[in-house]
Amino acid sequence: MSDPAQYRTRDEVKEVRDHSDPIENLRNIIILNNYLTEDKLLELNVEIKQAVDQSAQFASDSPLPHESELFTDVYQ
Amino acid sequence: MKTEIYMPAMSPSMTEGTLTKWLVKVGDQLKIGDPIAEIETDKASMEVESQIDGIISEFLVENGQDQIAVKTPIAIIETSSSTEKLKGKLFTNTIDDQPKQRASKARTVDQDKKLDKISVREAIRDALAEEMRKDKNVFVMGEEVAEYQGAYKVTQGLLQEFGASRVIDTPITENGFAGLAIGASFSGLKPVVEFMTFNFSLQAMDHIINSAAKTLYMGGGQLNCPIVFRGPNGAAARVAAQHSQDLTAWFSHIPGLKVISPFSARDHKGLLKAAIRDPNPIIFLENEILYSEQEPMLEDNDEIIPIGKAKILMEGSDITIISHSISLKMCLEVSKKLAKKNINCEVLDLRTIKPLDTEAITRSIKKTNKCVVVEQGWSQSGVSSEIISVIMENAFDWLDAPVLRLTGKDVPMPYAENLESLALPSEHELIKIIESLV
Repeated sequence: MSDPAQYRTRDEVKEVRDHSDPIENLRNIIILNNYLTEDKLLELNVEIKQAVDQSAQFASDSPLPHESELFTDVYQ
Repeated sequence: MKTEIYMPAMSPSMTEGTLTKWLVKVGDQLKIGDPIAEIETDKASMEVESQIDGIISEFLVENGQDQIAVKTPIAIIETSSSTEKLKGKLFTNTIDDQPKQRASKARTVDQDKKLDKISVREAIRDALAEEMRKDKNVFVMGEEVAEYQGAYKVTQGLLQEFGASRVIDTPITENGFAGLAIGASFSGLKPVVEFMTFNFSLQAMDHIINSAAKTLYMGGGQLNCPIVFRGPNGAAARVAAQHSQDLTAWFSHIPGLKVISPFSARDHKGLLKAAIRDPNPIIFLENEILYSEQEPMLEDNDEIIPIGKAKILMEGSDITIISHSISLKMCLEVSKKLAKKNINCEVLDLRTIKPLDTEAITRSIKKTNKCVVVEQGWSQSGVSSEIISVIMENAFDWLDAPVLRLTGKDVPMPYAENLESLALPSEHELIKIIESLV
């Protein structure tokens, strides 16, 4: 599975990113309304990336689940 | 401060990739999220995005360089001090004073092309191309089928030969393009719609079941829907629950649909050609892992394999093993192993799931008097349940033992490698079942 998206131009993607990317829009709303400073946002960004990296590292460092876990969490 | 950008791993099975193209040049100012390069593996292609703000100061690999190992540094970004906190991120790494190991130079890999053999992937492509040459109303649409030549390279060369009006890239909206294609078929065209995988067909189920399958019936026989929905179905490797499942039974439940699930390259070609010529909506289920399987075949054969006919892959007298698609690989392996123990298995390839070849099934049961059905799909209301019912209705008096089934376990496909293989039917399980019956 993949989405190289060669059927649209980079300019089209850039246009949407610059003007209607919901994440970018939310970021602008946060800054314009002084909910958070740019530095605080960057800090949050870093924290989130670290949490993701650490989780990925934890997962790849962990042993494979025991075979008895095959049906775990299919139902409660 | 200098920061390295690493070759990312796009999937757990990826060990190396090709940097097809740099999208920036040295000196460019980058923001977080800006695409910097295109990366490709044998399975997928994607853009690497910058994880930091900064200026590209050096490329460590060239355009088109292949076999770049995951986590090899590919570029250096000069960042301002405010982003120092980004040290040691997944795809980036602050450079220490150690000398770096550069990525190895591009190497040309000799493609060992066997001209007398054809892969399942090529067989499907040839069937499409031959039918498109024959009938101007046949066209192909789907995600990445045109410019990118197919997410699994099945539609390679079609855009070049038939042009953009007959090989159409769609946006990522299965319900939208399935509906559009069904409308085109109502108007007399013959669309072949590729689902990148059948997992995504779930988005288009309403159109497939309510528009494609039922309009002939609801329109009093006046409006037919000559359409083929095709793409990989069943378990792929290590892509977890939502991207790895066998939906054969789902489609086979619906009156008005025909469901095909071939195994060999020759059958893929002959059955796809038959499907395109058939006036009904067809679900044509391929398998990602089978795409590279090869089979000797004349390239220009124009064979049409009839829909609804099963095929005996191996003759035997002790027990019939009934299956379809990739599971047959295991069935054939097991049969070879059991032959050494003097157990002669007959292996029946269903090829078409709906309409089911009840005659071929019944004939084989009357000969062997025993049967096991194998499928990757889940057991409840599965393909094997249907086959067992057919045997009960048509060959009960000829049975010497209960008909058993080996199916996928009743669990979403696990991500962990060991659990994934436990969830799928195994050789070991099949041998145990057969030995308990004969």
